[in-house]
Amino acid sequence: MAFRKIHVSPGSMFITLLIAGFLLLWLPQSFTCHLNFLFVRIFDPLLRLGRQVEMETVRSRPARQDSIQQAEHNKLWKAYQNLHAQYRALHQEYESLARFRKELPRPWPGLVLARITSTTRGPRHELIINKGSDHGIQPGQMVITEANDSIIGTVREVSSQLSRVRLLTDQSQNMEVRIRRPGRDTEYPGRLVGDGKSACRIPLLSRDYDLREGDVVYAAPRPGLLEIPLVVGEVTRVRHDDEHPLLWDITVKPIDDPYTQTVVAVIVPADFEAEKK
Amino acid sequence: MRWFFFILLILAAAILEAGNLLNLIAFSQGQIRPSVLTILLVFFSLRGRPEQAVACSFAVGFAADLAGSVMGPHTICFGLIGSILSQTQGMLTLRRPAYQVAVVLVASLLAALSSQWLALLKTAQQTPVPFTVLAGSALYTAAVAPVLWPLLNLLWKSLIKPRSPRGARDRIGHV
Repeated sequence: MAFRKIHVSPGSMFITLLIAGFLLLWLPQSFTCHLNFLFVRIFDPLLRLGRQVEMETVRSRPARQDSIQQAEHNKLWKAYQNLHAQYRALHQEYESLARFRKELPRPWPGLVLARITSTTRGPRHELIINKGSDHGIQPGQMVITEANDSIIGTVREVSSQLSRVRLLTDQSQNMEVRIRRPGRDTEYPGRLVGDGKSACRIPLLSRDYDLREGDVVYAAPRPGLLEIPLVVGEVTRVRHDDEHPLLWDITVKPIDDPYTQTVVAVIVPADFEAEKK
Repeated sequence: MRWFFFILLILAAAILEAGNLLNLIAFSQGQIRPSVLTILLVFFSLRGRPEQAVACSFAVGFAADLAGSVMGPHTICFGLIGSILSQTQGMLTLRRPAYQVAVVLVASLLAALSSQWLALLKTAQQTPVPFTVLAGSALYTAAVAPVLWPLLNLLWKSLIKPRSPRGARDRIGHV
């Protein structure tokens, strides 16, 4: 056949494929990410292989004390901290309402429940969930656990049916947070970054701040994305920054392990919920 | 070369890289995992004819991009590294496991560093993966290479088309 006689030299093939590669690199990420999502959609069942075993492995790791008691403790701890934060927010709201009549805001505009399709646990800590822009999900939105009581990450990229979630522990994660000690009203702002392993750090905090192990870290409210503070984790280590003696080096342990979750919820704006109805 | 089987092979490797199975043998809380696609890159670059090696390298790079989250960096870096390796076929013979480890380690490090740089360039992110993680993954990949090499040698026999006996018949005819 005619096409069998076409011989391409290695040099021409190299140049052609290299140009194709650069074209792929040059195309915008918002466009090429659909190829990655397509791959995940096609091979979803195969990509999930081993996830169950991994979840069991993570769950079976020995906790500090009894694992069941620890889980129960975590649940109650989160509920208490969230209630406390909500109480404070509502109290402030009440004080404002005493002066201005207005409608009370909902705790969050709307929630989209999504199943975790696959997890990335290498250099990047990410989840892929089975809901996308068709369901109102947009980059930047907060992702919370099924029980709606703690934040585990933010949406990074979306396609029509899938989304990529950047977890708190991912090194490129950068989230505005508030640190507060239980029983006190003072709170300190900071930026939470992932350490790439299983914890997060809050850098560049002045040593004038009174911070201790056990202080609670909340995601800061952001208009349209998060109306009330929601717990992220607990300060597990406070020490002096070796490079900057006037700053703290703070380690935060996220309260929930995203790799043990099967379903998560994404906070979406209320107007999308209204449009859907 | 049987390209259909080759595509199936690299798709299987891409699924391994993107999926959760490799997490079961990962170190350092899942950060350090072997890269099957890098081993395939080195193997096919050194086994195939030059034009096959170039095409294989870019195809493996494309599969690595599909398995990751940014399209382009691996296609370029794997393509370049594979094409360079294919030019060393006369000099490099990877029969000994130590040579396999050395070549896979260098190729893996180069591919990881350069593709990360291109990915940062494309996505404008400012937090690269630490060098210790990249080096750890490259070492792990190199350590796994001698285990996979004999399997790939077996697969190679089914990937190449048997030589047509026409040439031999022609020669007999001339005789």
